[in-house]
Amino acid sequence: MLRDITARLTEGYRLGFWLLATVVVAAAPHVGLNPSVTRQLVLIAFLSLVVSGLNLSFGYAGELSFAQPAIYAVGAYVTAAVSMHWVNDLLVSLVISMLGGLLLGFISGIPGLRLGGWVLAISSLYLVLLVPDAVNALKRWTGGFQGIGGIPQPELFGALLSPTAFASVVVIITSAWFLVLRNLVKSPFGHSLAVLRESPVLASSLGISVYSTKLRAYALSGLPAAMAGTLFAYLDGFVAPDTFSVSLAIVILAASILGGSRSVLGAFVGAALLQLGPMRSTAFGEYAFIAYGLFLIVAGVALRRGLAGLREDLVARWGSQRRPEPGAVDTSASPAELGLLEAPQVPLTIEGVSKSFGGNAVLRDVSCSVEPGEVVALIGPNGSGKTTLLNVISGYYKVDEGKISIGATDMTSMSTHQRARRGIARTFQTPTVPPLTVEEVVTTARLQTDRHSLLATALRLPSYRQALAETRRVARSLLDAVGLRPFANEPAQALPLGTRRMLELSRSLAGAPSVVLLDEIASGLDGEEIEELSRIVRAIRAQGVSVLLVEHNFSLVRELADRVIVLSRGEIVVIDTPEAVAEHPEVLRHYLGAPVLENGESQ
Amino acid sequence: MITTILSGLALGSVYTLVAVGFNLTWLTTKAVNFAQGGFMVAGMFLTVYCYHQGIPVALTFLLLALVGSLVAVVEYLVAVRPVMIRGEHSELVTTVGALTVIEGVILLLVTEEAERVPFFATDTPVVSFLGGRVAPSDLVLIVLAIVIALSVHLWTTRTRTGLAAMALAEDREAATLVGVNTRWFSLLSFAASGVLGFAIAPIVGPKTFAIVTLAAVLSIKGFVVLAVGGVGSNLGALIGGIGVGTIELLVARFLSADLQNLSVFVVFITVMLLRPRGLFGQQSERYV
Repeated sequence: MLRDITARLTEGYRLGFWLLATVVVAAAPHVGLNPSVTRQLVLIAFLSLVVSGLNLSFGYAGELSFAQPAIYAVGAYVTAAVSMHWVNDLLVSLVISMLGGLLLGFISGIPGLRLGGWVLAISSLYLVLLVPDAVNALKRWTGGFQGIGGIPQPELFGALLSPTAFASVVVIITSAWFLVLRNLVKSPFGHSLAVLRESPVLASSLGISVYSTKLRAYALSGLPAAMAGTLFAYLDGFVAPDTFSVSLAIVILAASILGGSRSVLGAFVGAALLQLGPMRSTAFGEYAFIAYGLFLIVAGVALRRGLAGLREDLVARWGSQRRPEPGAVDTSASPAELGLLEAPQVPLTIEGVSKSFGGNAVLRDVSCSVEPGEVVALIGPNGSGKTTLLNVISGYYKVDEGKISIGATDMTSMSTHQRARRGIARTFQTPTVPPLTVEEVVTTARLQTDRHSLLATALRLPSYRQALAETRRVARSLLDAVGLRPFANEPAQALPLGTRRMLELSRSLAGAPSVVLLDEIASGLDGEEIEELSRIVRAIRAQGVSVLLVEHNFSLVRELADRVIVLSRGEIVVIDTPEAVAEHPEVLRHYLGAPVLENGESQ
Repeated sequence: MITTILSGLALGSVYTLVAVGFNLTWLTTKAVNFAQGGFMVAGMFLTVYCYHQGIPVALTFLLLALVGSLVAVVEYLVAVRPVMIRGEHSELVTTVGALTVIEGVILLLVTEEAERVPFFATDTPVVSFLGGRVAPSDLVLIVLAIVIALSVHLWTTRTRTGLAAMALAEDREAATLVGVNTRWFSLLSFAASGVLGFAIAPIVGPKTFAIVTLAAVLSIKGFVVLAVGGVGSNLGALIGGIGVGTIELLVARFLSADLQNLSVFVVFITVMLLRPRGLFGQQSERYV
């Protein structure tokens, strides 16, 4: 019931409400809001901006970075320098410090790219330690440890801003940023971050570059802190280095976790609660650190998604959720409705590939190919190298020797995401689905084909809307084809295993691939689901896609495969039609396990 | 020059001791205990208190060891064990929380935010050594860092219990299966890191002074040393600490004090980018 009501609060309605709230709050200082209350409002705005930056890197990109106070400092000092020595205009200062924030956010993210976790946390915290040194080294511009005063009152388009007008500008800028942030995280870009958090392995198989996506998120996370820095410098016309301390980093983290790190408005709620509560009262001061510390421990242990998580849980409890019963999936759609986009029809060629792990040869001189419109099955006993071969084709492992190409393109030295962008799609033995809706999961396969700029995403430009509509159309027709359309808006992680396999299959097709790698896709499916699966695989073949299938179920292999590759101990035993392979003496021995007599007949 | 290097060695020894503390708990829980720097600073203030109360030196050390193990065990039970199994770096948040609590308690109890820590062994301010001038506490510090890092290194590579701890770091589940009591090991390792952190404070204090904000700095620099040397390697912690401390003070002496911290940062980032597992770290396999 509640779910239906919230669904009716459409995007436009919410936007209208947000704009109205912004206008009311921005107007309040002009109609007699107490100056001390106005000041609190402005301070909440600063803190919420900084916290929202942390939410972007910690909550959405998934790695804890403490760099926010350093970026805040850059914004403040850049503004001091620009407005005192060059030109006093709020917009000019804002733009320059935002550029600085982007740059520092970007730089702060680099050390964590390969290592993540602790290295990112400590290197970003180190940046905060460096603030006083940097301020002292640039004493001429920053005033050193004592701080710098005399920053002029800001001008905007040549008009001097009174303190009340300035407060309104702060409210409007903060509101605008939150709108932009919301547009960024509720978009394909936000989805790619969700995929990345769930599994970098999955992300790269979808053509998402792990490094560049993370770096973009870190760079963006520097924007709001830099904006807050500019506004902070103008507030009192005074900036000193002790504002940007390790303690501030702790406060920011506490506010982020309190409001819910993976939430847009949570940044605002967390900042407001900390600003109005502990940060204002001096009586609390003595116990402040103990309280923050205890809160971080309790929140880290128990309150994992903050107040925003609490709200979501309540909505989920009161709203009804539909989950497909096994077998409830409608499979009546015809293969023609698959709606695959035209992909170049190219063969996958593997020539003399060898791979060993620490002296243990897993693949030895493997050569084979998959032609367009052909289904090739890869069979062999456990440990024969089937999945390793798929991983080598995907690019998770680099080959020791040999060559892998798609059409005329040599892919041997390409990374996983580059190969995915060339048209290699795959599924995994254990389906991996990020915490998104069923439809969104399918669209994640098109994140790279339908790239739109972050600017278009942030401002919801027509180019973004068009691309998104097209992506949705493809996703829906695929969901129709596999019978998952009724669950398009349900959380994908709640689906039963068989349905998740179907979802993974539709995702692998959404990017219009030339080559599809299916890793034991039929395991755990019931008879009806397997029938549905074969129907879809045939439809894929009919579209001229090259399909490589790892499968244990030999009757399914017989039914689907044009050719079968038998692998044993990393070597190809035979490549032939399913019928011929079923009779092959070596195969009977290696794969089916039947002892073979000297004359080659099986017992 | 020699004076600067000796001073750098002593500073590096402090980082090494923090890093060895990190290693102890990392081995058994795969969590870097960010409160380690806080242990040291808390120990310094406790030392100052004991000194003013006229408590004998031996008793002071005993008290430090006792309080240290207690604080660390409580931290483990409250902030680390509940999040350990999750394996998603929740301990990043909770151990930072523990450090903040320790800082808060110190701030609440002490009158001065910075205190001189007395050195028990001698009153001589500086002595001559190898042509340089050095405080006796610095020499003791260097020797202690070498002895402690090497003995922990030998313990983890040569003894039965040490190898069990290493097995734990490698694969917790497998270690449990072959009969290593993982919970007990984790608890003991935290106790040991607490004892190390607190009891070393009277030796570190004379060099650094007892300052509340030092706690986070020590943890950060200690982690830098840990990462540069290679997480899990105590030999790496020793070499990394000595290297970082010496570079830091040489830069401060011959270039500019403003570049001191920056130089360490540059070393840190360079090593991380060129050799992500650190100088003495184990190569970790990549899983798909």
